[in-house]
Formats: sequence, C-alpha cells, structure tokens
Amino acid sequence: MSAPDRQRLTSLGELRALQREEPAPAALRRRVLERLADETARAALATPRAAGQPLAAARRAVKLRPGWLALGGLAAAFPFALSQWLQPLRSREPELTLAPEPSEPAGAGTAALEPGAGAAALEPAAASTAAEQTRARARAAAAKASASATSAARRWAAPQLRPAPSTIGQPAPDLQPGLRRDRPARAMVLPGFAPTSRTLMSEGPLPAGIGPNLITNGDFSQGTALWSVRRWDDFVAPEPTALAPYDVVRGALCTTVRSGAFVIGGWPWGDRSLSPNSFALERGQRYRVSLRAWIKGPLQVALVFKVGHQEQPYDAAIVAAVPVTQIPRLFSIAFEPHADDDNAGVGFVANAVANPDTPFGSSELCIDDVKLTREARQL
Amino acid sequence: MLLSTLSLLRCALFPVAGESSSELPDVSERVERIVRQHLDAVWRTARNLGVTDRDADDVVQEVMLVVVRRLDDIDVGRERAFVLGATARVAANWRRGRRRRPEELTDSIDSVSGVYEVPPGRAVFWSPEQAFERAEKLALLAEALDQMPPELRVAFTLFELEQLTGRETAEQLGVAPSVVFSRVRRAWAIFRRCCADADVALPQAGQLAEPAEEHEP
Repeated sequence: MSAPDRQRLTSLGELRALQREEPAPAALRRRVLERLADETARAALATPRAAGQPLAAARRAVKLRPGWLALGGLAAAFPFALSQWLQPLRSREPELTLAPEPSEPAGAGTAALEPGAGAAALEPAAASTAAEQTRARARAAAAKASASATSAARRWAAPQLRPAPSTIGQPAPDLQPGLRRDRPARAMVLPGFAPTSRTLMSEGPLPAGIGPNLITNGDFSQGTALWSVRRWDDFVAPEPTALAPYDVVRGALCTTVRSGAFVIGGWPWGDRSLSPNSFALERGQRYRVSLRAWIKGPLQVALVFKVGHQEQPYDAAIVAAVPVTQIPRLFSIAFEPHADDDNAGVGFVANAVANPDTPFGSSELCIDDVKLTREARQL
Repeated sequence: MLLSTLSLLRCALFPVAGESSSELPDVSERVERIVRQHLDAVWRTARNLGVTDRDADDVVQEVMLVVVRRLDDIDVGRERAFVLGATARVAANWRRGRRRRPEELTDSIDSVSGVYEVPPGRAVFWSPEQAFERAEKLALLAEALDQMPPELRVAFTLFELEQLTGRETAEQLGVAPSVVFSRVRRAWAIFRRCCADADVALPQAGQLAEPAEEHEP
C-alpha cells in the first residue's frame, strides 16, 4: 500500500461535528440545575440591589426560607435599635425626587434652591426640637454604621429605590412620545448623606459665575481624560472596577445603562493626565454646579450628581437628583459647603429603571458641560 | 452582617409600591434557558481546554455559578460568548490550581478511558471500525490541543471549535482581534504539524470539508 493510500483525510469541521455528537452527561445537567436553583435564591439574598428585580427575589426568598425567618426573629430581638433605624428612613424617603416637586414652579430657572431654604437644608444638625433630635440620632447611627462599611459603600452608600410619592402616575410634562413611562421614575434615597434635602437640580440659564470652571475637561473637549464610568454591580465591593461602556460622542460623555443596572462615574477617577485634577471648597462660599444631561433609549434613567471629597470618607458637599429626560437640558444647583475641602471632585450615579416589558433594554445617558464655579452672592 | 440583615428586613417590611413578584422577570428562567442551551458547549470547551473528565463537572458548575452572579452583565443574544469566555477563565483558574497540587493518577486514567468511551444515551450505534476511527480522530484533535500553549489553545478552541467570531473571542479574552487571529494562525500550524505526524492529511478547499467551515484566518 503506497503512502498516499494510507493517508486518512479529515478536517476541522469533521472533528468539530464529532465532538458535538457527544452531549454533556445528563446527570451533570441535572446537578447543575439543582445547584443553580439554590444559588439563585442565595445570590438574591446576599446582594439585594436597588433594582426592583433582585429586591423582589430577596423578598420571595425570605418568604420561602425558614432560615431567614429565624434570622428575622433574631433581628426582632432588637426592636429599639430597629425602630430607631427605620424611623428616620421613613421620614427621609421623599427627600430626593426625579420629577419637579409640585410646589416648585416650572421653569423656575436657577432659583429652584432658594437661599433661605438652601441654608436650612445645609445647616448642621442643631437639634433643638424633638424631631431634629431624632434625625440627629439617626445621622449619628448612620455615620456609625457607615464607618464599618466598605469604601465603595461609603462613596455613595447603597442607594435604595423608593417611589416618589409626588410623582406616581404623573408623567413628566416634557415627556417625549418615545420615552416609556409605564412605571413612574423612582426617587433615589441615599441614606447616610447629610446634605440631601432640597436637592433637585433645576433647569434654566446660569448666572455669571466668578472665576474659571473648577472641573478640568468638564466639556469633554479632551475626550474622557480624568473621567471614568464603571459598572456598580456590587455595593459591598471595595471599589467598582469593571468599566462601563462609555465614550465621548459629539462632545458629550455618553454611557449605556442597562435595565436595572447601576453605573457610577467620577472626576477625577484613575486618570490624572490633566491638571488641575482637584479643587478646593471653602465653607461659606457659594458655588454653583451645572451640567447638561439627556438620555436616549426606551428606559427612564435616574441620575444623581454629587460634589464632595474625592477620597475616603467621600464626604458630600451636595448630592442632587437630576430630572433627566430625552431632551438635552442644562441643570444647575447652588450650594454652600458645610466644611472646607481641599481635595474635592464630582461624581454621578445612574440607574436605568427596570421595566417588566423590556427587562433587557438599555438607555444611553449623556452629560456635557459639567461646570462648577463660585458665585458672588452669599447664601 | 447586621447591616445586611437590617437592609433585608427593610426591603421586606417596605415593599416598593406598585411592584409585585408577578410583574418582574424571573431570573431563574433565564438561567435555566442558558443552561439548557449552552451546557454542552461549556462541557465540551472545558475538556478542550484540558480539564480532565473528573474535574469537568466542577468546572461546568463553577461556570454556571458565574452566570448566575453576572446575569445582569450578560447581554441578550450574547450569552454563548459570555458563557464560553467564562469557561476559558474558570479553566485557566483550574489549570493554575492544578499546578499547585500533585497530579493524581486518576487524571490520566480518565483521559485514556474518555477517548474510547461511547457517549451514553446515543440512538445511533457505531460499528467497531467506526468507533475506532472516531476515537482516533478525536484523539488527534486532543493531541493537537495538548501541544498548543494555553493562550493558543483557548483562542483556537473559542474561535475554531466553538466558532465564536473574532470580535467575540477577542472581547472574552481581553485582547485585540488581531491578537486572536495571530494566535489562531499559530495554533493552526501546530494542528497541521500534528496531522502530518499522524499521517492524516487535511483536505484542500473544496475537498471533503466545506470551505466556509474552515475559516482559517
């Protein structure tokens, strides 16, 4: 037999087909499904995220699992601590809303945060009344609790989605036909942040500021330098590391937010290629932070913007919700820091509100012209 | 622990208005669908990446746990790429762990017995000649894969055997597409050399195998 006759012909396609004839063992398939059923419930309990879906899964698991009922009984042994912890949260739930408050005039421009109201909102807790004392105790308890949390949790705390009572069933006046609002946009409550009352960025023209923009590359003219956007999947992780999809598109920083997912962006974050990459905040000085923001896509996006210390403990000077819509608008808010800060930065958290009809959809959030300037008038 | 307990209780005590379990997508349903559709590919890929039969079970389960934990990160329609990429990463971890512990005798026994094992539950039975020929060809592929360095092996497995696109393979491996093509090209050279050593000829285009399948970069 000659050598060519002995040669057997084969091809990668044939080898591929031979491999695919062999399925995974049925026992393995069964074992995997059984283990995943347990793991799904356990994962939902371990990290109940702010999106509604894992929360509901956690609640379902609580109902189903006797072990968690026992855990609930253990927690019930501390009724005083629990009531002290829950009471302030109830009272603070409607603090941040995504839609204009009824009392707030539409198109009020930059006057949305009245000087008096702002000063009251940013006043340190001088507990004179019983209610204020309760809130002060709650803040102290929250501060004590957050001291043991991880750095990422301290950066933004774990946002809990709550419905905004004033917005349920009320579509925003500037609702566009393409924007789905089957479910109302929800408010973000960020427990542990002191200056969070009256924090709705309003839209309108900006008053003349003093001095330059304190945020280098706030207009993204130099690409994404100094900026970073990351996925925030795990609120207890030391630091969000997985980059979210983001880029500068037509001069704006755009990032994709999937249904139910969180992204966190910051300036400066990682990148220190430009200078200055920090700014100082002076107590008693009035500042104004502004940005242009809009979304593209079927899902409503909850956006919260923050100015604060750029390192641990990430103390916030201002935390404000941005009622972002599909129309690009300029939002701004004036604030007065309650403490000096020589190393401040800005950041934002965005969450696409999960919709049962489009559980896998996403929207694109774009921000531009991020600006922080001093203002002449004192609060 | 106390914080998480309190958070959990707060979630349970203050359900979000307008939200009920019935209107939310069932996470387990999607996981189950992914398992049913891609478990074979995961198992096959794990073995192609050198995981022994004895440990393939653990690796597959580990991959599926990754799927559960990262379910929110998996884009719809790209589950296969994600799952196979996760398999590559878990298999790499398995390889690293294996270096740290002494090789067990049963590993080699498994690998020998697996070659000639007739898949259970098959409706079609081969003749002894067919079974031998099939086992021989699969052994040839296994031999070629064993001779490839890990980075070439994973690129070849994902791109050629599992037929992910170059872009998908690159995304899962965290490298540029050009790097994937380069690795696959080098892996092909090893595969050809193995075929030549075993006196097995690869067909030219149009002979035996359809050219589209042999999408050598």
